[in-house]
Amino acid sequence: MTAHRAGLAALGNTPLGDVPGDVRRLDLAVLTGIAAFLGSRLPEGGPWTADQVADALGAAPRHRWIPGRWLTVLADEALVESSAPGRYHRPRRYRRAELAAVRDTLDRARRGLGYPETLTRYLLESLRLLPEQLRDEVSAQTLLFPDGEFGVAAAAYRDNLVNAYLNAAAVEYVRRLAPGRTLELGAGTGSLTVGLLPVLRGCATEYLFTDLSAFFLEEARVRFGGYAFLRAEVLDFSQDLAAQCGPGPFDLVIAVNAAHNAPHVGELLARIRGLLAPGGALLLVETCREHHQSLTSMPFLLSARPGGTRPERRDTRAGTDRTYLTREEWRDSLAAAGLTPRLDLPPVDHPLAAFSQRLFVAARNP
Amino acid sequence: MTPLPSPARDLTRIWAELLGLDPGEIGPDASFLRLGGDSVLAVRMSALVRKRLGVELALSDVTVEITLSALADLVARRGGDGGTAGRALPVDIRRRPDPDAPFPLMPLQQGYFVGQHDGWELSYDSAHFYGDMALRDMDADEAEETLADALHRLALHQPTLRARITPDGMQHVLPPDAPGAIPRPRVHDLRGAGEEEIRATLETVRHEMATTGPDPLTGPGLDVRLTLLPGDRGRLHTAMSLIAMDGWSATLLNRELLALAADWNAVPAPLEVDFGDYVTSIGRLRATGQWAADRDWWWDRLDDAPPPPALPLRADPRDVAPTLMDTREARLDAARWAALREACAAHGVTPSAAMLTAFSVVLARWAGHRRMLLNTLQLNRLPLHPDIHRTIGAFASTLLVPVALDAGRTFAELAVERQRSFGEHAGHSLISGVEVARELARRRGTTRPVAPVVFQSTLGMDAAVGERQARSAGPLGELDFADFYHQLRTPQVALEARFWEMNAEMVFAFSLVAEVFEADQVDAAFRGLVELVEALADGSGWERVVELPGAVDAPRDGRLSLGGPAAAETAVAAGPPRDELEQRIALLWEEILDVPVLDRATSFFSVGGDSLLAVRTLARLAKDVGVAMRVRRFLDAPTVAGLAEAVRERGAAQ
Repeated sequence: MTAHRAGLAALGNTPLGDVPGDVRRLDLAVLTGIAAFLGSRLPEGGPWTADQVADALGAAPRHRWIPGRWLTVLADEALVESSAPGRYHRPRRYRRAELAAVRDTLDRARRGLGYPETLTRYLLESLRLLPEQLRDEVSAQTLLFPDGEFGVAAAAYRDNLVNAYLNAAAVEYVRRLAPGRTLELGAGTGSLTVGLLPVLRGCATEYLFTDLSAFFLEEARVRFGGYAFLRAEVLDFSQDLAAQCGPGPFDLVIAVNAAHNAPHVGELLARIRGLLAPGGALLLVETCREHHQSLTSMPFLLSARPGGTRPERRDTRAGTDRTYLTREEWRDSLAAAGLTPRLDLPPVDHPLAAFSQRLFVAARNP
Repeated sequence: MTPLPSPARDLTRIWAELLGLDPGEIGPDASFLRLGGDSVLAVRMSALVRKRLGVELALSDVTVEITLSALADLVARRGGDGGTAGRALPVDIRRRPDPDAPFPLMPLQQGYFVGQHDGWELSYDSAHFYGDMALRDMDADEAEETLADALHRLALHQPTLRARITPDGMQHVLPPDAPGAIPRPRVHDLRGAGEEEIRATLETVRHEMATTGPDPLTGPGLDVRLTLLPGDRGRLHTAMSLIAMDGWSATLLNRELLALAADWNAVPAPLEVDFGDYVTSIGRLRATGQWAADRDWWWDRLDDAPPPPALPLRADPRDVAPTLMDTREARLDAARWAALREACAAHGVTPSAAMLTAFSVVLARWAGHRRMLLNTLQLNRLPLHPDIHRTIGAFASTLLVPVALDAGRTFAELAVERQRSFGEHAGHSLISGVEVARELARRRGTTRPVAPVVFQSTLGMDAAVGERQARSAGPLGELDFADFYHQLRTPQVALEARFWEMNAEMVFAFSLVAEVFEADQVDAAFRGLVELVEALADGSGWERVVELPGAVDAPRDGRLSLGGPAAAETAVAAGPPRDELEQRIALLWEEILDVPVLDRATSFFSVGGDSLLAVRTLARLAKDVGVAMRVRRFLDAPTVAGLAEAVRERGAAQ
C-alpha cells in the first residue's frame, strides 16, 4: 500500500468534497471574530496605524507586533478598510445575531473537518481572551494546555481529518523503512510518536524523543514507558545537533510542526543531513501557509519570551513576519541540503491539500 | 523506595486556592473556618480532594472546624488502606445510557408537584421564584437578540432548562431540537411609553409573573423577559419553577446567563454529568445500609420532635387561599457583611449557623416559647462529582431541625450549640427531610404541614462558585443590584426566612402568607431580626445574654396558633368495603400500593401511600369513575370510606 492510500484508508468513508470549503469557512469565522473584537475596542475616528491600535489595546511590549499582523490579513480579506498603506479604519460593529451565526459556522466547519468539540471551545475561548492575551495576563500556553493537559493540542494536531491522513501516511512509510535509530525533534505532545512506536517494535534500537521544553519530556516518559528503546531528552535544534545527541548516524529524523521554528531552515536541514546514515530519511510534517484560524493563538506563541526579543529569521523569511515556508520553499530547501524527495503529500489537487499541512519525506542518497 | 508525598502539601494548595491565601499562611492547626472557609466551600474542598487526590471523604468528615493536619491524617487514612475502609458515600455517580430517559422526582420536587395539584393547605398553582433587576446603559437594539442567544446557549449547556414533568410525576429532558425545548425571552418594549404607562405595565408584568409561574408540566420551568425603557434603561425579569430548579441553581442561572450575554464567544466548561444522573445515583442510596442507619436515627427521635413555633394566627391556614406571599427585606452592606463574616469566624461558627440562631431567637420571642421544630432548605449537593455544584437542577432537599434555646446564654453560646446540633442532624441526611416529615405526619395522624416555618441560606456560595457575579452583561447593559425586586411562592410554608449574597452584600428576607399573620407582628419580628443581625455585625450582639421567654413549650391555650390541633376528623367505622365504589377504591389502592387493603377505615398513608401516589390514585379514579377530585379534599379523610364519600359528594355536585 502506498503512503497516500494508507492515509486515505485512515479516513474510512468520510466524504472529503467539502473540506476546502470548510477550511475557508473556519478561517473566515475566526478572522471575523478578530474583526468584531477590534471593532468593539478601537476608538472612533482614525484611520489608525498598527502602533496606535496596539496602544489602544494596551498590548504588552512583546505582543505589540500582533495587531499589525491581524490588520494586514483583515485588510487583505476586506474586513478592514485601509485608506493609505499602514493606516486602518475601525472595523464595523457586528450585531449579536451575526456573531451567533459566525459561532455556528465555526462549529459546523470544525465538525466537517473532523476536529473534536474541544476545538470550538478553544477557538472561541482564545477569541474571548484576546484582550487578556494581548496584555499578557493570560498566556496562549494556558489556553492550549488547560490544567497542563494535552486535550486541546491533541485536537489541533492529531484528532482531525488531515492529521489522521498525514499520520497514517507517515506511519506506513516508516513501517516500510524499518529504521534502527530514530531522532525526533520538537516532539512536543508526541502526536505522531504515539502512532509510530508500535510499528517500530522489532526494528528499533533507539528512539530519541527530544524537545526544547522539559514540560513534554516527563509526560512522554510516563506515556511511552512501555517502549524500552525510547529516551526523552532536552534538545535545542537551533544549536549544533551532534554536540547534543552524539554524532549519529540516525536512520530516521522526524520533526512534526517544528522545523519552521528554526531561525534558518537551510542550516537546520544541513545539520540533520549530517546526522543521517546513508539511505536515512528526514520526515517532516509542516504547515505551508498560515491559516486565519491560528491567528488567535500562534502569533502569541511566536512573540519574544517576556523581556526578550523576537527570534530573527535568517532564511527566505528574513525581513517578513511569516512563520511558515511554502511548499516550494521546502522542496527547494530540501534539495539544497542534498536530500532527495521521496514523499510530498497530499497531492496538490487533493481536497485535503486545502489544510496546507503537508508530509515531506526526503532521503540522503546512499 | 521513594516515600509517597504527604497529602498535606496538596491539601495546603487546595486550601490556598479556595481561600485565596498564600500556602505559607496556612498553619497545620488553624481550622478551615478560622481561615475564612465555610460549609459550602468545604463541599467544594471535598470535591477537589476527590478530584485531585482520588480520596473520597464522608460528608461528616468534612466539617468547617477541621484543621489541615486533621484533614491530612484523614486523607492519608482513607487513601492508604487500599479502599478497605469503604467509600465515604455508598454510591457513586454513573452516566445514564440515555440522557433523554425519564427519571423520578426528588422528594422535594414531589412536594412541589403535589402542591401544584392543590394537595396541601397553603398551596399555589405554581411553586416558583420571581425576580427582576434594573439595567442601565443598555444597547436596546441588540438586547433582545443578545438575551435570546444567551438563553439558547445556556439551554444547550444546562439540560434542566429543557426539562419537563409528566402528569404522573416523572421528569425528562427534551433533546435540543425538540419543538419548544429552547426557552425564548419575551420583550416588553416601553421605550416610547410615558411614566404612567411604564409604571402600570411593570406592575402588570410583575403581578402576572409572580402569580402565574412557569410550569414544567406544560413548558420550560423558566420564564425570562426583558423590559426596554427610555434612556437605554431596562429590566430583566426571571421566574423559575422550584420543581425544576433550586435556589443554588437560581444564582448559577443568573451568573451563566449574564456571562453568556456579555460575550458572544463565552463557552462554559462542559458538564460531565447531569441532574438525571444525580437523581438515579441518589436513588440507589435507599438500598444501602448507611441510608437505613440514617432513617433509623431519625425514626428513633421523631416521637420527641417538638411542634412548630406557636406563632399567633389570625386565620387557620386551611381556610385561606393565598395567591402571593408577602415579603420583608433588608440588607447588610458589603463592609458590615464582611464584618459579620469575621465575627462569625472569630466565634467559630458559620454565618449560616449564626443566622439560623438569630432567626430562632426571633421566633422564640414571637411564639413565646423556646423549643420548636424548624424546616431548613438544604442546597448543598452530595459531592458525587466535581461538576455537581455547577449544574442547574432541583437538587435541594429539606432537613428538619428541632431547636431548643437554653435560657441565660449569650448569643455566641447559643450559636455554637446550634451549629453543633445542626451538624449532628445534617450528618444523618442521606434520608431526605421530606421523607422524615412525611413519617412524622403519619405518626401524628395529620396531613397538615409539620414544619411550616423554614430557614434557607446560601451564604458562602459566592466563594464556593468562584468569581463574583459580573456587573456588565454586554449589550444588556450594567446590572443595578440596588434595584432588585423579588417574590417567592412555595407551598406548605407559612413563613420562610432567606439569607443570600448579592454583589458582595448580604440580603435577608421573610416570605410569608400574609392572610394568616397579623401584619404588625410580622413587622416587629422582622425589625427584631434586623436589629439582632446588625448587632452581630458590629460585634455588640455576641456576648450579651439573649432575652428569651421563660416557657419551653408552647402554652396551647386554645388561641389560634401555628401547629395548633388539626380539625377533628370524622371517625370511620371499620369493616370490609360496604359497596361497589368502596371495593373499587380498595382494589385501586392495592394495585397502586401493592399491599392488601381489606378495611374501609385503612388510611392511605399508613399503608405506604405518599402524596405523589395520592395524585396518581386520584388521576386513575378520575379516569375510572369520571369524577375529578382535589387532592386536598382527599387528604381531609384519606381512608377508603372517606374517599368513597368524597367521590359521591363530588359526583352529586357535578
